[in-house]
Amino acid sequence: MKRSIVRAKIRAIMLVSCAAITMGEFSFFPAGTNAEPLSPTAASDTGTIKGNAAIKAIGPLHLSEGKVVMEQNQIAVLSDVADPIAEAELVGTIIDIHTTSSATGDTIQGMAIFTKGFSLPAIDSPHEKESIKGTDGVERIGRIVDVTPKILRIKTPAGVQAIPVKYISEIKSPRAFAFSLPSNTASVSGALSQSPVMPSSPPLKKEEQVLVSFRPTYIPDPNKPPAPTQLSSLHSQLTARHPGKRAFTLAATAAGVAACFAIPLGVAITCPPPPR
Amino acid sequence: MRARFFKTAIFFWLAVSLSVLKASADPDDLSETESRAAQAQLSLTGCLTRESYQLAEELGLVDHLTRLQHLREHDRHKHGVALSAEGTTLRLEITELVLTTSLQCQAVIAQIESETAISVEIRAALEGSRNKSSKTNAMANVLANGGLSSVGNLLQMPVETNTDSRYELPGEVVEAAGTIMATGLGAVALHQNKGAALSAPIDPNMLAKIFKRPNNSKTEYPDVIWRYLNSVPPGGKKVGPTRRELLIDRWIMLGRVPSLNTPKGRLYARTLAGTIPQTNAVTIDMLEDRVAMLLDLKAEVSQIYKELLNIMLVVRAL
Repeated sequence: MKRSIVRAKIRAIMLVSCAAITMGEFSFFPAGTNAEPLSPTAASDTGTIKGNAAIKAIGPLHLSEGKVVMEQNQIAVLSDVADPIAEAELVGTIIDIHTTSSATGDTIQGMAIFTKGFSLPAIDSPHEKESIKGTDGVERIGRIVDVTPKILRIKTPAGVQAIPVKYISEIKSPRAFAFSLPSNTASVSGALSQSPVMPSSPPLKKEEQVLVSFRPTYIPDPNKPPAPTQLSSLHSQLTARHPGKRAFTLAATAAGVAACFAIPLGVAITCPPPPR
Repeated sequence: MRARFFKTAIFFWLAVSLSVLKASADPDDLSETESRAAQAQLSLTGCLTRESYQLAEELGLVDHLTRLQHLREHDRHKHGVALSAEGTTLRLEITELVLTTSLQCQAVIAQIESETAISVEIRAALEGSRNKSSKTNAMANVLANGGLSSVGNLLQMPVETNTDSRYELPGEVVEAAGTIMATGLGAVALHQNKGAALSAPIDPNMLAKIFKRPNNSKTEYPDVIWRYLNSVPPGGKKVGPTRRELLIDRWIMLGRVPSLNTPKGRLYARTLAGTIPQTNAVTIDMLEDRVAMLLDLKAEVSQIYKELLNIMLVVRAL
């Protein structure tokens, strides 16, 4: 009986704290900062992040006036601050958000796995193998097919495997980047959104000119031959021969010319001869 | 006697050589340099063009030039007095910067030219293919419109006087076939006029950064040139459109790219810049726009040479 009362109390406290966190009642930052509330009890794999930061490069992409928008475990990289979120260069999900303290100050760290965007083909290829190493020491090699803040799904030769984020020790993927940014740029909260929606893109203010750095988790082998692309080069497209197309054109031309003569000939045969 | 002759000859040769050396050491035979020297002694801004002064500021050369101006070495050097150590160092530093900027410009222009050459080559190949198809189409049109219509008319001629029009039917059918074929070929010609459309993977060019799209290390601009392109040309307002924005405005005005405020415009800019996979988007029209824009960009970057020359002329005059 006592146990059930205690459980009910814990549940009530959790519910109230969740609601309070969502409404922004608990503030981890001193008053006056732009930062949003941080849940002191946020678990590393369930936190959410909200903030904007400037970006100069990510992987091989150089962005002169880039901007990163993070909200509700979703991340969008824009190449122009005036671009709408729908035209983001890279869109992905953030996992493993946590804050670390150092002599230079607090930083928010996490991992972004990009799954959409105009520039995704520039950093990733469907032929590249990705790997997820679990805390059990087993490395699963394949392609990541689904990313949520809690679970990653990877398609391996053995089938699709779902791995909870908290059991992941290492990810190697050309589209996964570890990031870090000063904690006053963004805010972390413990409220996890199950159905994240990308926010509208607010303009980057002067005070938001803090750079976010992205560290690749995958270094391509320079000796590996380049993966075959779906598109052949422009020159090879120009010189490519299409025997089927040529045969079809020839057949259509021959049929057209034959029809031009055969139809009137048929009509002439069926018509009565002119009177003499 | 012979030794004396040789001594005189050597003395004479040395005298001539020294006078030639002295003459070649004087760099200011140009009247332009002289006039610049006179101006430069009074004011740097009056001697340098506004564009050159702006570039000198961006390169951090104004201080060097001012110090050279204060040294007032031009006239003394003209009359054979050696340059001071400070003057020589300043000139060397300026020359280093100017040469480096010049080479950076050359590197950017080389990349632009390389991209232009590829685009021109592909466009020429596409145009060649289109012309070949148009030629075949024209021949087929002659056969259809001319040949078949003539045959139709010829078939009708013997029976034209006959009151029963049914006898003209074979000729009419042949003529109709010719007309239908001509119409069909006309439609095909319209389609062929666009030329073939090729596909290309992501391959950013020098327009990418101009449109604020992601570029790579190959298409990166040196800082000096990027600052120059993002500076407001002197003469107008202090806060106004930059050279880069003016270029884009001109392209929009000429209809090369739709307004970048629209999704269509931004998408076309991405296609032109090669920052998205171009599936059936590499057409003659697109390549023509890309080539024209790259040439405009090259012309804008080449302006830096003119300003660098101005700076160097002033350095010679100081």
